[in-house]
Amino acid sequence: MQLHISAGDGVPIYLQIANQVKYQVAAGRLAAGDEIPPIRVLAHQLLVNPNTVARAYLELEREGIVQKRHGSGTYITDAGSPLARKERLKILSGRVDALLAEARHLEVDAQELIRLIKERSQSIQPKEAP
Amino acid sequence: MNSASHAIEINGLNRKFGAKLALKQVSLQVPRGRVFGLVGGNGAGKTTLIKHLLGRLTPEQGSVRVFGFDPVTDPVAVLSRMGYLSENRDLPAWMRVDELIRYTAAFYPGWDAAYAENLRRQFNLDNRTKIKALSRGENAKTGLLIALAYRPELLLLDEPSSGLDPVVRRDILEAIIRTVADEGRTVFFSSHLLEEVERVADDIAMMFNGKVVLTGPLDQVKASHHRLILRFDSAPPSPPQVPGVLSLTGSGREWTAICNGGRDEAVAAAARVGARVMAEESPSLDEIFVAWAGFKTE
Amino acid sequence: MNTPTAALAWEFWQRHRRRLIIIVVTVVGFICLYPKMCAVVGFNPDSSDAPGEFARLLSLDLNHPMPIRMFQVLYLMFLVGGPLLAMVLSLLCVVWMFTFTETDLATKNPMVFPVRLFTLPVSTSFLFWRITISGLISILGLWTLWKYGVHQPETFKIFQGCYVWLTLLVLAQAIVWSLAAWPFTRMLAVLTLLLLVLVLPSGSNVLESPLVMIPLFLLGTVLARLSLQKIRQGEWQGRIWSLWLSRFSHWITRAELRGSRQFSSPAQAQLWFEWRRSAARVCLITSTLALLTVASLAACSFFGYPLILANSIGFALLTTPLVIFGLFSISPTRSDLPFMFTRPLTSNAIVTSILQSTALSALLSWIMILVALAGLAWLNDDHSALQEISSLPARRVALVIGLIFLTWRSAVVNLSFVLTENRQVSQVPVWILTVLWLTGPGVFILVQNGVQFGWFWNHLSVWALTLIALKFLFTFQVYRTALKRRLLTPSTITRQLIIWILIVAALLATLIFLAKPDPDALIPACLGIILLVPLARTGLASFSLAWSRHASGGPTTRWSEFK
Repeated sequence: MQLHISAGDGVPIYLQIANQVKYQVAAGRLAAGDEIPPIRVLAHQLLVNPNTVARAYLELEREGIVQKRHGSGTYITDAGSPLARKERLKILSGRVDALLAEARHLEVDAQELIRLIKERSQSIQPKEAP
Repeated sequence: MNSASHAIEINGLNRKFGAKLALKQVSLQVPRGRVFGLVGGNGAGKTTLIKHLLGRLTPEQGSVRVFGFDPVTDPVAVLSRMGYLSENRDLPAWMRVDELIRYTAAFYPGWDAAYAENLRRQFNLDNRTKIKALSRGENAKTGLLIALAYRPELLLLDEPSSGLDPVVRRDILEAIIRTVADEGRTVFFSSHLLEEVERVADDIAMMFNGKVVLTGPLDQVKASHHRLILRFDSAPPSPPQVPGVLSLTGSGREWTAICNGGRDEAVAAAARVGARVMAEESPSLDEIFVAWAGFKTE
Repeated sequence: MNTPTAALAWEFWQRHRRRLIIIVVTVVGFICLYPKMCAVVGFNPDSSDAPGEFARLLSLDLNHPMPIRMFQVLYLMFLVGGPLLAMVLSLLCVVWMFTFTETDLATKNPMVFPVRLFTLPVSTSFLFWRITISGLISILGLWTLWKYGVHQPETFKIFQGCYVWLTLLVLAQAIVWSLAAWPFTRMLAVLTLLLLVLVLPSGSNVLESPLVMIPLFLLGTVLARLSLQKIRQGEWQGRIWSLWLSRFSHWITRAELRGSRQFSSPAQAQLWFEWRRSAARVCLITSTLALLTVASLAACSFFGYPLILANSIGFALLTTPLVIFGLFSISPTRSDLPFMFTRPLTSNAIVTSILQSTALSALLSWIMILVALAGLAWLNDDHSALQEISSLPARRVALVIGLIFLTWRSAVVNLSFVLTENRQVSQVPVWILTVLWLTGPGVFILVQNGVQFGWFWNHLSVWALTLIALKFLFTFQVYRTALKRRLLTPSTITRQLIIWILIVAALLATLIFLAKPDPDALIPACLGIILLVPLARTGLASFSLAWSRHASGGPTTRWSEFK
């Protein structure tokens, strides 16, 4: 499991870990039943405090994305996949919010923005055809 | 008198050097099994504080207890439970690496020779090199080796990463993580590399001019600070003053404010001087540090 | 400072200010006071037979008691040899100053040419000629002052010639600069040069001949100029020698390590640490000096030169360990105390290991000195320094035991000053020694002027008993405070007392059964032994170490910026 942590981000590290795990589940890179590394191993790999990793896992367990099985590790739950679509939409809605805020800043209204999105979508499409 | 609930307890510590007050009423509690980061600029008093922990300085006022023992009256009890890596790399220059390992092993009953050998191979240290011939990074790694090999209950690091390349810094961070991952062992380190502190610290304390300006769990500290982007209706002629804010930087109409705690009060105060809050973010530890550095605490 | 020359001169002055002032004061002092000191006794320094004068004056006033006689002898020796010794020392000091080396703080090398001078916009020739010519002028000036300002008795002609000193300057520069990358070889070469200059007065006519001096002078100048160039350009890095040296030390350490895989206790580890840190070096230096001296004498006799000074060399060998151990004990440079203070060791354990390693070092050095003396006796066929003292073998053994003890004592007794790591306090032993050295002639002058010290000598035992009582009182105070502050445990104090009693008993037994002194000197001698064996000062050493460990935070804390 490849994660990337940036320390001075402003986003707490445990949240970065949890978000990236959720993203990977949503993107299909982590399937149901896959094992995620134990806390110590991940802490070593990312060079962060094990307590932070533990907190991230706690968060993921609370949201039902992972499940700790006694003695044999932590695994992605089946419930992860139906959340995939929900998770994807959540991620995109965050980006939409940022786009809308910037548009307001630049004094472009929502209608013009939607027209722009359609335009860009059409111009990108031919490249994906073959 | 056995292990207390805290690894380190400092109460009301004062220290003067000549006319200058180096430590002013410093009080800290370092809980066991966690990583504690002491953050401060050069001259803030970090090394003076660590010297008190080692028993190198006697408290003029106040008390220092490590695992319940006083480092001045009970140096053996404290030092046999502590692994120390100093900033100055005081290893004896005339010794060789294997002699140093053999010498240090005699003082700690919990010395794990196999573990020491593992570390030595991992750090790529040749047994027969004299310590004065080691490069700076190898010197730091040797000091780390003899501090780790007996799995001390407390690992004390004084600016461990100063002047070292990223590879050696990774080794040191790994050592910190490995120590605290073993049940109950504590790490106390002082640093001004805030990115590293953010990665590995559980609790932090920030020192300026000998005073501890804030202390507590790292995520609480970060959660209690806010970065507000303010937009003034018209560019203020002189740098604006917003009460309740730690620092205000910027130019023209857009200014960045960092405040501690009272976020609503800060927003209200900003509105009073004619500014709107454009965005609100979580500052990094670096920005918090710089904000406090500029803030006149007395 | 307008010119580079002025800058160099200013730097020289800053670095050697105190030494230059001491030299000037000494010269002026001798010029003014020496004639008066000679007049007090009636010593005629201008006579051509100084030893004869010495003997003549010594045969006067025979009815003074023994200690006064000792002062008399010392005073006369000072008159005969004092100006010469001062002249030689001051000229040697000037020679050293003009090698323009300083101590390197990073590598702890005591004689390093400051490389920062090469970053100045001056050529190597400029540097060299400025340094050498000012050195030659200074030596010429100083020598003239000594030769013509102070009327010295003509005991050793070799040192009276100026050419020797000028040549010595350039040769010293050549050796120090060319062997800069080989510090051990350089030390040996410098010692050999000194020995040759100081120990071969018999070859004075050889050395004064212009066929020898002038080529040596030119050779020295050329070599010095070349080596300065080499230092600048970084050649002659000493790779080969350091390779051999590292192989040698590796072989030695393998032999050491073959014994045991690990230390059996912290005390043993700490003893090894102290031994390797300094005691081994002191022992090595003493032994090397002794063996080198005998070896060079053997070479002299092999080449047919007569061994005139063999007996004086024998006496010198007997005092060498005392001087060297004393010197090493005064030098306060201990760079590894911060490391030691973070080991789980009590201050008392550190002091005990220092005492034990010093004892070991004293014993081993003396074995080598005795070997050297035996070599000297074999070279000399009939005389030997020890035999000169007494024909009784038991007395010689007693003397050696006494000297071994004094050697250990001289290293150990200054610990309580040196371990404070405070520069002013560490200088106290030097002041004490100076005061003692000045009191001797002072007392003698008083005696010559009729002041009677009978009230002192007749009640010597009483004075000794008073001092012993003070000593025990002081010891009691020290131990009581140590117990209160938990620096020492009762068992440690008991152990120290038992060791003290054993040492005193051993020395008393040596005195009574081996040395067999006269009956009226027996009691003062026994009391003297009780007074000399250090008891309180070892406890005080633990204090000083604890103060340095806990209160000062290190020697750099007070003066430089703290964190």
